Amino acid sequence: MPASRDGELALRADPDGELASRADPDGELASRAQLGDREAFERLVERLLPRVRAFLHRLSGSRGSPDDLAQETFLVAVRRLRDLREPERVASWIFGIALHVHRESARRTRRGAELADVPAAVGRTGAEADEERAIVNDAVARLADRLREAFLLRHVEGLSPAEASLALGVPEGTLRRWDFEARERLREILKGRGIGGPATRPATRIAP
Amino acid sequence: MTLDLVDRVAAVLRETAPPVEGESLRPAILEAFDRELRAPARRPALRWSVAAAFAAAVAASWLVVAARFESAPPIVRTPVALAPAVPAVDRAFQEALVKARIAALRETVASVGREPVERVVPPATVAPPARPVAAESLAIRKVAAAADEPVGALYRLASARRFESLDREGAAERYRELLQDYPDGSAAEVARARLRDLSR
Repeated sequence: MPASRDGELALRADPDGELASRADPDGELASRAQLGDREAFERLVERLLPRVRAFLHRLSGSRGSPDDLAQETFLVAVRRLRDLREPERVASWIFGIALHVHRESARRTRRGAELADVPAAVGRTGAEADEERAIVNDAVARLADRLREAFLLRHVEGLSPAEASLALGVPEGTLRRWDFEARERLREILKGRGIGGPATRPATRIAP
Repeated sequence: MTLDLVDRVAAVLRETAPPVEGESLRPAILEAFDRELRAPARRPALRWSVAAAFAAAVAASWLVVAARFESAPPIVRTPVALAPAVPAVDRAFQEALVKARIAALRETVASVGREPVERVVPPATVAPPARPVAAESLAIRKVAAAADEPVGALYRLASARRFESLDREGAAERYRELLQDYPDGSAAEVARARLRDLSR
């Protein structure tokens, strides 16, 4: 997974310096957790749980409970942690489980994977920001499931094409095509709705 | 600063925050970890004893079945049944399915003296779709058309097979779900065989 700011902070905060030379703290933490290291697991949860919760929330909107879905995801992960063959790919693995849990939940409840309402927001406030969020959420909700999943994993969660394709269980070429289709579709939907022109403030760029 | 549309959409989506995390969420996950991964001494022994008991039960039931059906003909494994020996939806699997299907078509054609096989499989069913697709998708569509297999079943099969490299139990779960949705056909047969292999 791409080195995030959180990751850098975690490396700096590592008291033993064990992780300092590692480019992939998640992989290292997962390896240690597989051996029963609770502290490593706790740190892994600290790093991945917020991302997984946010991802599940964006996928299911206000109709699903991100806590329930995230808990189910991590309980499955705990059960299978020893079977994880490539700890360095733990992020793709967890997101893959989360996707699976989300799809199963959507199928059970037959409510689909729609972003029905505009979920709660942080950051900008005001009518204009609310309207922009509503338009964007509506546009993303109109994407086919696979396109939405590919887009969120790539551009919001910041997974690389290889990581996202692994989480989705498809070849990288397919992921790239879905991502391209998602972007084209979003461009079509948002055309003429006031989004797509120059923005007024910078956005945080997540690693490609 | 001018932002690309993708960046802007992603930035807006990142403003969407989930509700505050429940207080019981992390303790529940950590408790599960303590239960599952912090009792290493007992688990292998338990697993081995369960495995031994299961093997004994299987052996006993097999002896009973064998005694009753001693004269039964041997099971003939079809090319499709052999497919699990290779990665799902890879070339060998495609060839096995396509060959089996085409061979069957050839036989049918020969028996009624109709047109050659190439005409029996309508070109439209195996032709690439209008949009360019990735090689694997194209292969899956071709196999699906040639083997009368639902495209969805083969996609699920490929996905489960790919997940095996990461997590065997996760892959097994995907195979089981495939069987729930597509209980019949070649994909189901392959999924069952993979499940048997994974449980060994």
